[in-house]
Amino acid sequence: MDFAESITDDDSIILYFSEPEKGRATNTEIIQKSINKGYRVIVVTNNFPSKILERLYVKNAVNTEKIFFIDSITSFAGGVSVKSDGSHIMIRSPQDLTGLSMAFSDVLKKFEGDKIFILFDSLSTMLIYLPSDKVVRFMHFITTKLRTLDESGAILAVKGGLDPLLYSQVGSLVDGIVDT
Amino acid sequence: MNKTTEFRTSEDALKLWAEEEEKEPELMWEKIYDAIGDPIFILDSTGLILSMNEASEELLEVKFQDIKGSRCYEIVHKTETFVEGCPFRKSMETQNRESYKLQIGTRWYRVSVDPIKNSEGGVIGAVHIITDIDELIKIHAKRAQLGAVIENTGEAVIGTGPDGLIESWNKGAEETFGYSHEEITGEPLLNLVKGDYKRENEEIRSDLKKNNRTSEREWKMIRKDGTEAEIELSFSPIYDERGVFYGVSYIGHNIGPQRLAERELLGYMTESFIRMKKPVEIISSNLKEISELYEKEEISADDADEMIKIQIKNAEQILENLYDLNKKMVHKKIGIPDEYRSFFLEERAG
Repeated sequence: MDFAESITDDDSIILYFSEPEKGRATNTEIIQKSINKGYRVIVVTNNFPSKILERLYVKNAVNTEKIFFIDSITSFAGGVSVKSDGSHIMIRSPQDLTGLSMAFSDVLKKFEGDKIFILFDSLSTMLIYLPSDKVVRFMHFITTKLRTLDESGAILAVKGGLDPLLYSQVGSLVDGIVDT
Repeated sequence: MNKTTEFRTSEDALKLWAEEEEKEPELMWEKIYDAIGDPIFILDSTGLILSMNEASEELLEVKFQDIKGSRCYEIVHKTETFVEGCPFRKSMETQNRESYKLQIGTRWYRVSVDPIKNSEGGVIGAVHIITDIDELIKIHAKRAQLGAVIENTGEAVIGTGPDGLIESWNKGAEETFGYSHEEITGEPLLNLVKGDYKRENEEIRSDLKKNNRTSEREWKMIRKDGTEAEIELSFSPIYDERGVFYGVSYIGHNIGPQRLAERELLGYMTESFIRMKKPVEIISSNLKEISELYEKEEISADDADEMIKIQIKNAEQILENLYDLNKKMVHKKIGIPDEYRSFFLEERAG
């Protein structure tokens, strides 16, 4: 599947692979395209602190009013902006899958009726903190929830970062795989 | 060869004997006596030496004429009476064959005394024979030593007969397969061999029978409890005393633990690679990006500090993951050398 065609109006979940140095550029591009398609975007980040990410989106002319953040890294790393607010939910660590699942359900409820696009950044960082079987179970939960609610999403991962078994397991949960 | 030729040959041979007997009839018995390689003495019932053959003269380095009238103990043992445990005296008492082993110098001999009886059945003397059994004794000793080595080796050593049935089974085989010698003797070796390897076994037996060499093989075999054993086997032909192919001996080394360790180490290497390579690439790339963003003034010093702290957390977690993996490896008890075991469990710095 081609990157340019990957963000559509259809409800679909895509797994994106990119080189580590292209990760944030891919993230920004997907956000931009999704907002342009009229989606409300929920960014789940365990890679960059959400408030810094937000400022970088602004500098890249992305309309952040349409973006909501679930951040599982800022508190964990002892960052300065650790309080949840109207557009950020802070989870205590990337290993806190219960907190992450609850936040995810809360946000979907909060924006019920909106056309939602979830961006999960990133699967590779999640694998630093959690064993692969737990990651697969969590991804299954996320994708099932999105499909039940007819929503769309993207999962970012580093190219070559999944072993063959995990690649096939996660691959079976999504509608397409894109190499950027 | 036909029967007529056989008969003629026998007749010729007997003719030679008859001619010789006719020439010197009184010496014929003496010729036979001297032809025997083992020293023989004829004694009366008191131990007086009545005659001795040439082999006796050679052994004692004397001529019969010079010792005529002497008693056996005076000549053989250089004593004034019979030695303790003397088989001649025993034989005179029991009126049966008596024998014992004796070391003279560095060589071993078997001394046998057979009583000579008169027409009424009374003992009137004895035939005293000394047989050199030194070579036999040494061969037996070597075989016994080799047997002990084979019996006690940790390798499974299995001997099969011409029909492929198990005839010998050492302690190593007992430990490897779980069957005792009594349980397995007489059973086909094929009962221990898994599936495809059965055909290979027949090929090997056939090759060895034809004197062809066979290389070592790795077979999957079955233990008494039904579990699978990975065995590296070498094969040798067994020949009988005539040098005719008799059966096959198998020496098996249990390579299961080694293979398990190899597979586990491969798994460890793969898992280490997954847990380390890409995450380190992510950290490296993130650090570069942080540096670029800071240089372009897209993020503040505080932002850069916060983002660097995240990368430190990532690096710490990668180390934690590797320590966990090391611990799992050590606790699996898969034959890792002790020095590596302690290396894996090394105390963490800081």
